[in-house]
Amino acid sequence: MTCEDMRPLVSALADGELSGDEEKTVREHLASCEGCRSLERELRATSALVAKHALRPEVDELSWARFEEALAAESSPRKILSPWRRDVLGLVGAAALVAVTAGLSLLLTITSTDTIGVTWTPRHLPSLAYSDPIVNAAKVPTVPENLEGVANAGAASVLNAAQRKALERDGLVQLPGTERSLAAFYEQEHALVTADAALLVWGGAVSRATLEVECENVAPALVATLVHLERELRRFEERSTSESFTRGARLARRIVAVALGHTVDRDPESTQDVVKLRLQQGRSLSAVLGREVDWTRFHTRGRLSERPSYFKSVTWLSEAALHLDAAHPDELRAATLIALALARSPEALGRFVDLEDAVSLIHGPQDDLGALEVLEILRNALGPSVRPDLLGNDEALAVLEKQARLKAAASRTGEVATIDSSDAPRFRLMGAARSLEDLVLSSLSGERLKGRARPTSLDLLAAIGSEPARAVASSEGTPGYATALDALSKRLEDVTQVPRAVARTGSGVERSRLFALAKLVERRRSATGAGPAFMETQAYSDRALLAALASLNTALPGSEEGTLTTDPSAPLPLVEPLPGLYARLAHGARRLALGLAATTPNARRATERLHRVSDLLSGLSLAATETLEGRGYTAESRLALQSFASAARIFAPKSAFTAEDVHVLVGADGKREWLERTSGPLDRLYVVLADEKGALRLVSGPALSARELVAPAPLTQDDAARAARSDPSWASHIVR
Amino acid sequence: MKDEAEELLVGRAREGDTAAFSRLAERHRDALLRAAYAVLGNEADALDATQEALLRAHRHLATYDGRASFVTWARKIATNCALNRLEQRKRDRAGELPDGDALSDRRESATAELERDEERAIVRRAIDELPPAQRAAVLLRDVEGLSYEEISEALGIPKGTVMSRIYYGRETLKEKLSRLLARSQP
Repeated sequence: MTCEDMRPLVSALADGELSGDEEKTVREHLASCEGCRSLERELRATSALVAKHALRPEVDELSWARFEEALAAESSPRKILSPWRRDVLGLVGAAALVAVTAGLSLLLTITSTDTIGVTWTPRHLPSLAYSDPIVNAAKVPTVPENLEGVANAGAASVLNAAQRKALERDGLVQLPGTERSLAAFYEQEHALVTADAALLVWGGAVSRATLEVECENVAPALVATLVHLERELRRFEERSTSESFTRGARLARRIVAVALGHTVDRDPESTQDVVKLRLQQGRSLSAVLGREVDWTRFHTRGRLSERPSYFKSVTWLSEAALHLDAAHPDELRAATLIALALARSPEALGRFVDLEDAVSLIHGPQDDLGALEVLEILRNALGPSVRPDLLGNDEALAVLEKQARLKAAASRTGEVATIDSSDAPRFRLMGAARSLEDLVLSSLSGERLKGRARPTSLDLLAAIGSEPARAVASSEGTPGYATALDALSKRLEDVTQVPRAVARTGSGVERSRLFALAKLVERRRSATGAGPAFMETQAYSDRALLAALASLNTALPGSEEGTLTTDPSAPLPLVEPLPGLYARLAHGARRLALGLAATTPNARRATERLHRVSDLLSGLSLAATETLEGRGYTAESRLALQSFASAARIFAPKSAFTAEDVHVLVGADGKREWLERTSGPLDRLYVVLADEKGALRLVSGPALSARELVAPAPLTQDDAARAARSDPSWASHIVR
Repeated sequence: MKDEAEELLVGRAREGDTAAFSRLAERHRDALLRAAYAVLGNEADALDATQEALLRAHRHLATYDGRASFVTWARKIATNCALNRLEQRKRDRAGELPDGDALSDRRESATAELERDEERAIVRRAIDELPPAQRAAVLLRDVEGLSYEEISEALGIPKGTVMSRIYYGRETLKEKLSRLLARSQP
């Protein structure tokens, strides 16, 4: 045996993988061959280096939460969460969910501003749970009447009577926040950098990037579509004889006008306050808490109070969406959905979380506010035959649809169906996703199929596996349709199975689109016999959503850019120690940057920005790791933390909102009701806490969410004085 | 040695207890991820493969006969999922420009961005640059400590191939790491 033959065996010897005979042979050779002995040493040293340094990735909690979600969806015939989420945008949803559910209890013990001794209780991340301020309030001690014996009770003097009563009763009161930006929060306060805040920065950067790139591709066409819709709505408004529908149409038109940048007056007539109605119900059982809760304690915060003024238009638009079917032009359906999206959040431009809500308004799972609203809308429209347990059921949907059509005909909304839009701009598959459109076009258009001039979105849906879409599309009886569809499905599967790689050859837009389609295909594959979800037009709404995003971009301030600045004199913020989450976000931002082919000025700008954000988030991840390990911050994490306020100014939404959730009430009769999302502007919280000696103190400060207020550290001596004269910062509560 | 807690979990998971399966999966998630990563050399793809593998394992739990340990069985599924993805990736990249690819791989991982340790960075880069087949064998051996038999099982290749892949992988690494090796040797 030559040395050359011997070499693999030397490697195996180092691994202890040789049989007795082989080992003997190799050892004998080694004894006489310096070259092979040296090889053995080097191979062992190489192995040691690999063992020492190889990356050992770990499953982060965010991914784990998503896995559990998928597992739950697979195990239960009833979906818990929409199993389909967009790659990038979906990450926000999932991350926000984690952020919302994560903060159950964290214990901060800060010895000085610079030495970080933090004890974190392990945080269980359930795949689905609603956060509730009251959960944290369980830690709140019993509060004596009139706040007697509570140190610095004088700080409660700013509360009004109802608020003070709530504080005395519950030891916790959340006041509506003021319209502040996240940047202002971090620039003015010595605040904890939370996952929520990081998400807002990240989400802002990602949505801006998406918007800008989509905008370049789509916005012009979309604006034309919206103009068209506005015109149609005006005509509808003029012709309609139903007063409520006229009003609805007028509102809808205004929403579209807002989207187009026109100014409109507020509608004084539509102030039906659904929230108030619910609040009047007083105490009832909270499904979240498993006990009775007095809902009047919850303040309607921020812009939610304005929402009822949009309620009617949302209702109208939802009905319109319901009545629109394949017989209607694509662009009208799309525009309706877009307007619906805008109606949900006409002012919070660029915040796709709201727009995602708009989608869940139509497609939401039963646990979502969206689905409940849909139910309400359907009930209003179609009467009590609408039952929540039937929403996933195709047959029931067919019946509903039929009812809806009858109703539409009776209430003359059928007029919508007769709008002639032959001269309207075509709403096409967006941006560079044309190749997909081309694929559909060439397979299902008039060239191949007689009697089918051009494929519709319904065809695309059918092609990617929506059975109802297929049924509807096939019902036209076009010869050869089914065969063409099968062939197309196969080709689409080939394309969509490998979205990332394929997308590398295309633009970011194509990438996201393909990914979305791939998700749909996967979802269909993994479906466990359950039929498609309520109004299966996910791909459709995806288009509408992205189009809406793109149109919103036109309303964004021009080319507002900022430089990430660092203020070394600012006090060093603390960071909520979730290194995995920040790293994941950094990763996400970088991946999106890679996905955007930097071929246009917008895309180049977006890419650069995403890289900056990714660096910042990597720094936060590092800082979080250091926090967990009880080390001081390194220069890099300091830099990230000190740049955070500046990043918030550039990337976070103009007004920051807390990310809380829906409170579902289940009545004694099994009926479900819901309390509005409690998300609102930055809150001010007042909480009575006991220190180690049992003395009660009133703690107050601005916060991104109630869960931040879980630091049972005693206040400093002069807290009372400070609380009375100014806003104590978070630091004053968590720093001894 | 039998792990009774694990057997209990497997038993319950088989009876349809999703929570039990979830705990079982949680126990081994990182090992599966590392195995998938060994094959794919990319964290994000490995995460996807791991999730897919766990869901598959859940669906096919009935076929787990208990002869091998759960993690061995699940690892096999994870490497399979990863190998499928690798195959797919290869096909998709056929028409792609090579430099764009290399660039993206280098910038792929946010975790890698956090690397400050030079030696570690060099070793990781060298590992990244190995041909996937060699990388998988080397990592499963040196990081996971699997025997050649187990690697052969996980990757579905003969034992002799495992030996040669590990050897060639180490040879390549040895060349790339010669500077480090010289430093570490007396």
